[in-house]
This record gives sequence, C-alpha cells and structure tokens, in this order.
Amino acid sequence: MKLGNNLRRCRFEKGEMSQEDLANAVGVTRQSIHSIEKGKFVPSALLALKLARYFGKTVEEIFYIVDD
Amino acid sequence: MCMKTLIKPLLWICIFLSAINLIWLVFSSVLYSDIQGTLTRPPIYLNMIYCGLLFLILNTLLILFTTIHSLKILKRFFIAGILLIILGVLSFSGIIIHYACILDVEHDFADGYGIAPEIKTASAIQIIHLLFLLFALIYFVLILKSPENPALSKTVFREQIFVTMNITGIVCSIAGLYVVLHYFSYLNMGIKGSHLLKNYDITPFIFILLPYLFITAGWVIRYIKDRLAGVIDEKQTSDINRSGMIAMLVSLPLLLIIMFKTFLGTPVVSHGIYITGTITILWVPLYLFLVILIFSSSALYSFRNK
Repeated sequence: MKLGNNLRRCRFEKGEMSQEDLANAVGVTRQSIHSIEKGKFVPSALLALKLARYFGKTVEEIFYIVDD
Repeated sequence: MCMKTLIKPLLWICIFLSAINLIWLVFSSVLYSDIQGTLTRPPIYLNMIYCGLLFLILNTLLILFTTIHSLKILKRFFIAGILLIILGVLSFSGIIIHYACILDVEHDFADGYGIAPEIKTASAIQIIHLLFLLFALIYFVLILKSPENPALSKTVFREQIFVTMNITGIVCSIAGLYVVLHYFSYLNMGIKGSHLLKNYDITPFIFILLPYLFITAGWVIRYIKDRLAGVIDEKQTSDINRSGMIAMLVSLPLLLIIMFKTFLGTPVVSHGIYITGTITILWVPLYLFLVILIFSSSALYSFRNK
C-alpha cells in the first residue's frame, strides 16, 4: 500500500501556486513538498492536517491510499 | 535545485573554505620561515604543507566553478569574475609548481644541497595563492551583498543551509581522511604516537573541521529557531535520522575492519615503538571523518532523491 495525494491538483486549483509558496505557507522546505507530491515522502499527521487546513479541504480529499 | 538557488550556498562554502585556506597559508609560512627546523623534525610537519595544498586544490576548483556560474547570473561583476578566474588558473598552476618545489626541498635537503631557490619560488607562489584567496573572499562577499542577488524566502534558505552543510561535510571529511591516513603511514614508519599529540599536529584536524562546524552551527541555530516558531521540516528531520542510522551502521563495521587489520597486520613492537597502539591515537579523527563523510553523502542523497 502506498500513499497517493492530490497536492499538485490542489496547488493548481489555488491559483497555480508554486511549491515554494506552499512550503512557506506550511513551514517546510520546497523539497519536502516536492517529495510528498512524488510520493517519495510520507508526511506526518500534523503536516497532512496543516496542508488540508491550508487548502480548506479534509485530509481524505488530499491524501488517499493506493492499493498494490 | 537550479543553479540560481544553489549559488548562495556555494558562495558561503567558498567564503568559509577560503578563510580556512588563508589561515593555512599563514601556518605554512611559519613553517617556511624556519624551514631548516621544519625539515629536521618528523616528516609530518612537511606533510602539513602538502595537506594545505590538497585543500587548496579542492577550494580552487570550487571557487572557479562558483565564479563561472556566478558570471551567468550576476553580470555586473563580469570583469572582476574574469580576473578572479585568471588568478585562479594561475594559482592552480602554481600549486603544481609549489608541490614540485617542496618535493625538491625535501630531497635536496636530505642530500645536503642548497634549498634557497626552491624556497624563493615556493614563497612567490604562496603570494599568488594569497592574492587569489583574498580576491575571492572580497568578490564573494560583494556578490552576497549585491542587490542583483535576490533575497531568499525562508523555505529556500532552509534548503540551502542544509545543502551547504552537507557539501561542506563531504569536502572537509575527504580532506580529513587524507590527513589521518597520512598520519597512519608516518606512525608505521616509526614515529611515536605520543609525539603527535604533544606537538601541534592536531592543528590540521581543527582547520579541516572549522568550516563544517561553522555551517553546522548555523543550521542548528536555524533549526532551533524554526522549532521554537512551531515550524518542523519533517523531510529534513527524516533525512537526518536516516543518514544518522546509515552512518552508524556503515562506519562501525568499517572501523572494526581497520582496527583488526591494524592489530593483526603489523608487528606489536618495531624499532622499540608500540606500533599497534597507533589505532588508539588516531581512531577518533578517523572515525569522526568517516562518520561525517557517510552522514553528509547520505543526507545529500536523501535530500535530492528520496
């Protein structure tokens, strides 16, 4: 099982914001956002909630489980 | 990370390394001023000059690389950049002549010949190195302060200081391991380990570690400030944790192999010196640089690829 996400789509829905802007907004590095989007890094519950709150969505709307 | 955002950490690395190199040049000038005394002491003293040259090679290459890339971004400093590159090439060529001079001095002194011309040449080249490093320092500080060099957002700064710390770690640990391995070879030639500790032979390790210590301190301050502000960069924390684990798992067996090789591969006593005790003297710097090398390489790899 892997963690999928709609982070990229959310960014573009929010005025095509850059990874850097999102990173600044939630207090991580741009590389962190990049890794999460690529599915290489699994964020903690806290960061997932921060991202969800920032986009005004639920965590499930941004993150989902991908079955093998 | 594109070159435009990588230029700032490179500038900082160059400034730190140049400052350390300048201190080293002063240090080797002190050794030159009493060259007869230096040559009659154990070869480790001369080796310090060689180590300084190795460090200078790495630093010069990095300065040239950074300057070439800074020219593409900061056009206002074009002429100064070109001058720095010319000085850099001269200084780099000078390193080879400098190295040859020291080798000549070493051999001629042993054979009883005069060493004055070689010392003059080496001293002249030291001046070129000195000019190059001073010019590089001024150039890089000016670039950092330039309005053309845009202020970075906090997130990019966090990335840059992390990358800078790890690149510096790799450069410093390679230089450190080179020095440690040379110490080993001298110890096996029959120089007492206690002699190394009593004299100023620990100095190279301090010089080599200084840039890494400064940048790590900067990163730690940044990290603590972020934590106090409620900002946690999980990716960086995860990279650090993973690298720490890898560094421990890889360095311990390596150290065990080196230790067993030292204990089993050399005679216990040679020329009245307890050679197998060498590992007990040098294991700290050896282990330290090994850990820094593995840790920094792994952290940089994780940061870029994971």
